[in-house]
Amino acid sequence: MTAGVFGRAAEPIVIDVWSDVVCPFCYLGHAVLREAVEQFPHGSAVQVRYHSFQLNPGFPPGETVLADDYLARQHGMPKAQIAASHAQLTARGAQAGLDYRFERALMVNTLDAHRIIHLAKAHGQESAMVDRLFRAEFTDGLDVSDHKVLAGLAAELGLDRAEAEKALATRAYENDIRADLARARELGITGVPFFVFDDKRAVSGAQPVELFRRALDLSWQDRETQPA
Amino acid sequence: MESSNLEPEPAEAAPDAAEPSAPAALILLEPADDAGACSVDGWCD
Repeated sequence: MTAGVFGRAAEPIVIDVWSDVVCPFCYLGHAVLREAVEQFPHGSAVQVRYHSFQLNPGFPPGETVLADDYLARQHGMPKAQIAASHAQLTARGAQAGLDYRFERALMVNTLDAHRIIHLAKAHGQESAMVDRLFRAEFTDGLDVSDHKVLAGLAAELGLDRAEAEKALATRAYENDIRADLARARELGITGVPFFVFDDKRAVSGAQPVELFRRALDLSWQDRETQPA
Repeated sequence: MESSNLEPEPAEAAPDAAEPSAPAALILLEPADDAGACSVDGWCD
């Protein structure tokens, strides 16, 4: 942020992001948003806040199933169609620097993954944890509902493993998740990723980087044209 | 592994709409054709 700037221009552009760990388009959207912020001349004046969203909140805790098998079973989707869809997304992901390995991806209940994100947020590691969890899910094929896995990922980021294990063993951060879900309902969000810029503009889905740049540019223009 | 779901409140039931949408208070920037999202029924498109 430029020193000596007064009024709204001195405030960060706040981007609220709703996403789920097992949502492949959320991983892509996360990467594309990061690219847009890096391109943005005022990128240092952007604050990204992640919020929990569960696509399958009723998925049985402790159960894991290959995502491909889940899609085929839950939606009656032919395996060939799943493969074609994944190939397309894999190509888009590669352009954004992502390494999708859909053959390894697991469908799990993501409540505890969201709890570890909130723990990381309390330590200023929110974005890093979101990024690491996406990679664990879509590249490493890890079970991101497993407490040992989650505590290990927290430790990778320099967080205290014992604190993570303790948080996971309790119902810590569930109220934060409830608040995120409640806000999503208020906003009418039914799909993710969903991005809200300064509580004013929204981007739905893993849009091209140009659309995120447009949202950033418009948000910055607001600061230049509106008084504090 | 001990875990549980959040107890859903009545208002937390999944909305009927399958497509992402924005409330009137938000300005939804025009989406591109090739963007993708996952909806609350677990469907990604």
